[in-house]
Amino acid sequence: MSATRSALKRPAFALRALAVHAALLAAAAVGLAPFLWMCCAAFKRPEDVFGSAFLPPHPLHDLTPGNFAMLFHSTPFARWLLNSLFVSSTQTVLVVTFSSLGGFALAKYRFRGKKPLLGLMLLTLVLPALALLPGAYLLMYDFGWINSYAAIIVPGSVSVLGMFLFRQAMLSVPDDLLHAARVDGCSEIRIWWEIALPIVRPMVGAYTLLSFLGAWNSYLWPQVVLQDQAKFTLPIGLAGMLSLPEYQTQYGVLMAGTLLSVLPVMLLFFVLQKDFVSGLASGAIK
Amino acid sequence: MEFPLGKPILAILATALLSGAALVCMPPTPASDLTVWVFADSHARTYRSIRDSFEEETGRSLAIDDVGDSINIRLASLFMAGRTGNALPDAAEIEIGNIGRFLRPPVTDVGFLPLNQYLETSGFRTIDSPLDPGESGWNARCTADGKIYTHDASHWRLNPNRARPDAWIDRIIPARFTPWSKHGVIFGVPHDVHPVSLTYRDDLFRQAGIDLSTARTWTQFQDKCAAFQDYWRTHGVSHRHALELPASTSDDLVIMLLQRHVNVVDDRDQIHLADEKVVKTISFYAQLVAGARSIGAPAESNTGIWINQLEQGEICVFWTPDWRVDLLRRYAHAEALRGKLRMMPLPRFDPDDAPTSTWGGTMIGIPRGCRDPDKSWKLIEFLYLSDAGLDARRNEGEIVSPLMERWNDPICQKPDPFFGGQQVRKLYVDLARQIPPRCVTPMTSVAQITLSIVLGDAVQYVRNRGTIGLEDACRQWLNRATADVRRRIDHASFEKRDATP
Amino acid sequence: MNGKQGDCSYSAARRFTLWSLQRRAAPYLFLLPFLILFFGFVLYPLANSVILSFEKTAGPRLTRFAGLTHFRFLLHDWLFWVAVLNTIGFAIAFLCLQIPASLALALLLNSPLVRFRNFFRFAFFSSNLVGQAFAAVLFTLLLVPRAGLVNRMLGAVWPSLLELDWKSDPRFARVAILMAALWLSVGYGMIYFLAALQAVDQELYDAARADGAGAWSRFWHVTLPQIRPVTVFLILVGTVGSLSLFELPYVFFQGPGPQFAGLTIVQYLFTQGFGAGDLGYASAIAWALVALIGTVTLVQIKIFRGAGEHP
Repeated sequence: MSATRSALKRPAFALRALAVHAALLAAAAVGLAPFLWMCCAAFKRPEDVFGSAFLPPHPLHDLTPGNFAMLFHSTPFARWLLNSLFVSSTQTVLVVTFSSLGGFALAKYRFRGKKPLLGLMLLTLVLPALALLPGAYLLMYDFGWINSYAAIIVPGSVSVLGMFLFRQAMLSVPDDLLHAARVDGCSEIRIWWEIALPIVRPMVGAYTLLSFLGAWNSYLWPQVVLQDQAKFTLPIGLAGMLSLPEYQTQYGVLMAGTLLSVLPVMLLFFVLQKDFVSGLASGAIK
Repeated sequence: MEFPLGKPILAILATALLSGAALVCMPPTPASDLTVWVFADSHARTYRSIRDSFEEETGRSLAIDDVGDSINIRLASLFMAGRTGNALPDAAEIEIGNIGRFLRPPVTDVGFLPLNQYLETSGFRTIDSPLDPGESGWNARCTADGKIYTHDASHWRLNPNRARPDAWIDRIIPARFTPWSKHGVIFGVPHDVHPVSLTYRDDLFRQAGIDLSTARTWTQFQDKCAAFQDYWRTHGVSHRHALELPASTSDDLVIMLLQRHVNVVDDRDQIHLADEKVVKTISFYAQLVAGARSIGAPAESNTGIWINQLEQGEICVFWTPDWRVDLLRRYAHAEALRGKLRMMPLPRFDPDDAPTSTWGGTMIGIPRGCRDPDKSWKLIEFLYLSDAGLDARRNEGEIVSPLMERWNDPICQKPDPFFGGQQVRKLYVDLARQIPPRCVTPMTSVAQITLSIVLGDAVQYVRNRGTIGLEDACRQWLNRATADVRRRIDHASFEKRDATP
Repeated sequence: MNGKQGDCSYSAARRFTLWSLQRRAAPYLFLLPFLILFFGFVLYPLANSVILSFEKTAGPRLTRFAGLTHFRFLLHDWLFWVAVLNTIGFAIAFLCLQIPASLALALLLNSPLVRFRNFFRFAFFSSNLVGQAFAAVLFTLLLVPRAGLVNRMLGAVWPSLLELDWKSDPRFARVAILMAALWLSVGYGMIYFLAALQAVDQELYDAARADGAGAWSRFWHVTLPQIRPVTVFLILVGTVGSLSLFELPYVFFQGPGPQFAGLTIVQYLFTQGFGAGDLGYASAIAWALVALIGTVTLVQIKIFRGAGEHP
């Protein structure tokens, strides 16, 4: 019956498919156009950057990788890149580790003070991080951490959202497995490492992406805390290039820098795409 | 054993370790002995051209960092964190619009070092004999018995505290210390004077049968410009305006107020927004730019465009501080303007107004916690006050220097072909002598914004209802603005104030 | 959860005490890193910020008690209220556009007719990966009058739009920020909606179809209620995010924008605290923002809970 039904609907079917794909392509074009422009501009000569919409009139002749050379030559871009890589990756490793540990504890153990703690955490979740900004700045000053990587990494290793996400995910770990492992004499830490974590791997992937993304693109807090140009991260460095007078800004170079800054997260998303979506599916339907 | 957390996080962990190792192993950037932060590329170019001679002379290496507009937030952040030593530059330039925030803390806590001591005790030049009266223009003189007399605003007075008659403080025009001072404590050496004059298309005015330079008062000026516009309207050129006059920003209004010796907020935190002079000026300005007798129109801020407007004769009179004339010389098409321009001092409202005003400015200061203030001072002397520094500056432009002895330079007498043979440099120097002092406080920028808003309201009023009742309306708005700024000053000031003086 | 140890050898007995020790201590040890960081870097600065909002500061360690001065001043500070209006206006416009757009895209993408779903998913979500600061840099160049991509495209349709100066006209400045924010966030919402749509039980649709419900009716009565949790989540997250907007307009305008069109509450907080140097006033502003967000969120939760009871 479904075969005849679909046979009857074939022309309408094709029309609908066409409409859907057209709409999606239009939306995708809008979404991707800025990237396309950025990639083109990164390879255009200064006079061509605004001369043409995407590609210059003679692409083979006019496209040049010179912007990238200038980027590394005239700005501390390599240093910024290194700083961003170090700060973001360290922060991510720490926050995923701490959140999965803590989430496991919250999900699978009973202990005193659990309810008040959860309540407190929930309260701070709705708090924007900015309410902390002045107080956190003074704390960094007291520790002597102003203008240090620690000022970004250490506060960045705590995430209430991460704790909740992992708690949600860890709830799905079957208690029987844990019980069996304990009977075998496994230590708790090994249970976490060898049993719980593999089960929640999608969430680990999803949260890794989320936290790396947040750390990589973070602008406000590093801007406040870092003062040496040698310690700047990519967002601060590139945004700072905008503050130079107009005739000094090399737009092609700026786009080359932006392109390079966006590539790592793109790569990470590409790798973690599946985990991200399935991790979200488990965590978001709450 | 398969990594339970997954390959991506393993990769990230590896990245963290590798990049951390790289950062540790990275060679530290070679630190120079002295660092100066600037925000303008023209200044950076000037200093780089004399860097070698500085390094030769003093044996210290110098780094010149062009930080751009972010210099203000970076310095403010450094001061707020109480940083000292290597983190701070040894000298930093600040623009006049941005010095306000640095003057907010009490005088003892301002992020820059007070320079009064340095200015009073150093002078580079030595006077050969006590009989030498010093270069003309200085505010200090030495008599035969070695006594030093200094000139304040009105009298020559015996000054027992002055160590030398060639101290910098007596050789720089006092009115230019005001923006960079708080309660008499000077925090920066001024870069410039920036006297303001009016530059106009004399050829177009002559065609209309008008000699604009005879306008001595603003009323006369308005009459002449109105006649100018009428002439061109009747001759088919409808979009020709006389004066450049923005309607929504208060920059040029502030120029007029300064000319009348009114600072919107003065050094004692007195607000002058609601003074009668301000009411009258703002009413006058509003009807200059709107209404039946308007003679002005806003020009574009982009350099290329406003120069084009002057060349096309769309706007024929521009407010020209010396830096704008530099831009004209550099970017205008010489054939379009050569010989057609003339310059005149500002017309006045009252006889005791100054014939000029000031617009813009830069200073150089020493951050309080820097490594060695004495070395920083030597650097500042070299860049700002030495012959080498001042000569190098002349390659970038023809800014009037705040050192009064330089005003006697014979080059000032040269006629300028761009201005049809007029002695433009001499005019600027004459105007520089009469610069009104400008005060900059933490609240000045907010007060000026408030003034812009009142100006916008006033212009709207004139467009809708003409000038009847304009002054009363302005008075009302300005009183309200004063109350708001007063509240802001009381809120923002850190020191406790016993009673408003 | 007490694992009962059965038979024990001698070594098992010794392991027993050590084992049960670590068994009992485990939750606390696991939580320890988080707790230290939480108390140290969240709760303590929070408390500090509360105290700061009652003090005036002017530099490192220059503080003075000021009582309610900041809050009293806040009520009369017209710049603050401009920021509030800007921020709330942005939040409303943003949510009204982002949620429907994300849902529409997710619905399209969820259609069984679609091929290359992964490509489209990547295309839509990739804009979210960019982050506010880089997006501001990118859009600064895209919105250059006459020569930027956006103006070119607009100018092809309506020639007078070619000259549009987004950065100097306050009305268009706001639109520019909204545009950039939407470009960043629609993909994010789409991913969540897609996951939710794909989790809806097909049987519900079949039942509805059997009842004779049309496409719109199916959408209204089956789809929407089923994705309600995700919708609520996105609205809440979007509210907090849009009321806390800072990086995008700050980097784009390099300041408050034309006639303060780009001034948001957080930007005002930032310039007061780290520009003018009064961390106390900045804290007061921060708490005012928290109060605003808290109130709006509470109202929203009440609405959703109420609406949920009347399906």
